[in-house]
Amino acid sequence: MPHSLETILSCLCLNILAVVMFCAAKAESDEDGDLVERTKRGARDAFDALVEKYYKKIYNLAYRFVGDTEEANDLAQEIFAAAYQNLKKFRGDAKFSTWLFQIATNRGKNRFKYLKRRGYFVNKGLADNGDDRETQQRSVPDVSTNPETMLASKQIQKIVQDAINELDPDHKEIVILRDIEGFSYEEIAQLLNLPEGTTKSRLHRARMVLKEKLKRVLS
Amino acid sequence: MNECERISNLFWELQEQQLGSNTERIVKEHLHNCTCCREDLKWYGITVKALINLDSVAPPEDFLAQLRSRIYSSPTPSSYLQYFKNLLASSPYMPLPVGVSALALIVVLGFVVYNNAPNPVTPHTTTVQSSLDSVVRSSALASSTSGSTGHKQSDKGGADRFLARGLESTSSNPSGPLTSYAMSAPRPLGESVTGRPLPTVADIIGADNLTVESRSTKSAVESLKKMLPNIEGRLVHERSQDGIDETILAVLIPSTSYSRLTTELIKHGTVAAGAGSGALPPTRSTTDNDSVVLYIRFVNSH
Repeated sequence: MPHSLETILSCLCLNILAVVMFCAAKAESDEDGDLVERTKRGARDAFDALVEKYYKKIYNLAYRFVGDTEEANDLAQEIFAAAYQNLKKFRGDAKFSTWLFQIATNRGKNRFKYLKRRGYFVNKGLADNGDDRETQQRSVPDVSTNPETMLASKQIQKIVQDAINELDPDHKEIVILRDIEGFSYEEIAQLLNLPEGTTKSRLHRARMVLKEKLKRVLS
Repeated sequence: MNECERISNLFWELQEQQLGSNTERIVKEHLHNCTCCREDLKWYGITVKALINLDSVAPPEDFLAQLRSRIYSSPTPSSYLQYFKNLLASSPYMPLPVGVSALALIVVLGFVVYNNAPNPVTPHTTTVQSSLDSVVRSSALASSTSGSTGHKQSDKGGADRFLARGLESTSSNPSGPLTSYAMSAPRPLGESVTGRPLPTVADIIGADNLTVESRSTKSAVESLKKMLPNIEGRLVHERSQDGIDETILAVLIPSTSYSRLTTELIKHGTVAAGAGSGALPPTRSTTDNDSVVLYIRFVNSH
């Protein structure tokens, strides 16, 4: 009897938690929805509030796509400008945040392709390295000895970002969305308009490619 | 696919703890015995951790101010002009196939426009055009001074009427027809957009009859005869007047070969519109949709 009571209580707790989370999510989407509606009616402060809420995340995503603060600044502004201009087309089928990150991903991917075509990352790599690559590799700490500490170092962070820059656009976007921005598979599938299975397998392939790159540089 | 590959394909599930218990046992057994896969899994884990541990990059302090000035200073995209502006602004990021398609479209459009436009005067014919301009001016002058006589004679023969009409049209607008059509390939006769037949160059400038003043009429005539097969033309009639060193050729050529013919003639001397009233054959010059009959009088220039 006490055992069944415990089970019932734990189920109840789970249900309450689920309801609270659902309400929180709904409140969030409602809040965004209100701001979107007000922006559509011409209230600039409403759009400012939306920007305030998402600009850090969008900037970070932009930075991961282009790997440079100046470019990231321009790209993030372009994303918000595009969102503002196209807000009238937003019908509210999905959450505003999903729609915004969809724009961000598309723009980020396009900017990345554009820069890559122009050899931006090659030139940037050469300018940043200055010295030859061997010297740099010799100075890289051995990650395998103390991964937690080493991964936090600026040098490793730069190496990881460089490795991300070398990925192809499809792999890059999925790594950024899942491993860096922390979106769920369901959200990523919705953002990229892909089946969830494809999302997972593509992420695995992207990680494998990155693994090889990092292994080559860090080991 | 060997076992190591199969196992490495399960790294994702292993990392995310989504393997079934049986599969997990098999994978762990394999990892226990395979150094290579163990090493790979370690690096897979490091990669994922490295990605998750990437620091969040903070935007510049004036980001919001910059953004506000960017968004609110630009006009709202209500007009078509703004729509195209936005479209063009996004063009640098268009993928390569779109660029190639756009280029191909531009080339095709250019080709269509070029084909439908009046034939331009090409640079290599500029000197020829200037020669013809002077010819037309002199013809116009001749027409204005002997206009009444020309009309009287035209009553006697159809070709004269044709000649007189041509000169009138030239003199009425001396800079018109030749400026736009001189020495370029004549527009083929055919139906225009409105259904009416389009005039040939010969019609416009009245040059279905030409006079060539050459130092050596004989070589000019021979040269013309030689080139006729090359322009798909043929000699219809030939008449010589030995006493005054004059030869008249009637040639049938495709309308499109008119410029080549006149270019060739200019090499041998001055070309003027009109074959001369006295020398014209009784048959009237004719044109149809594909070809034109030209009466060319060769006279000595000394």
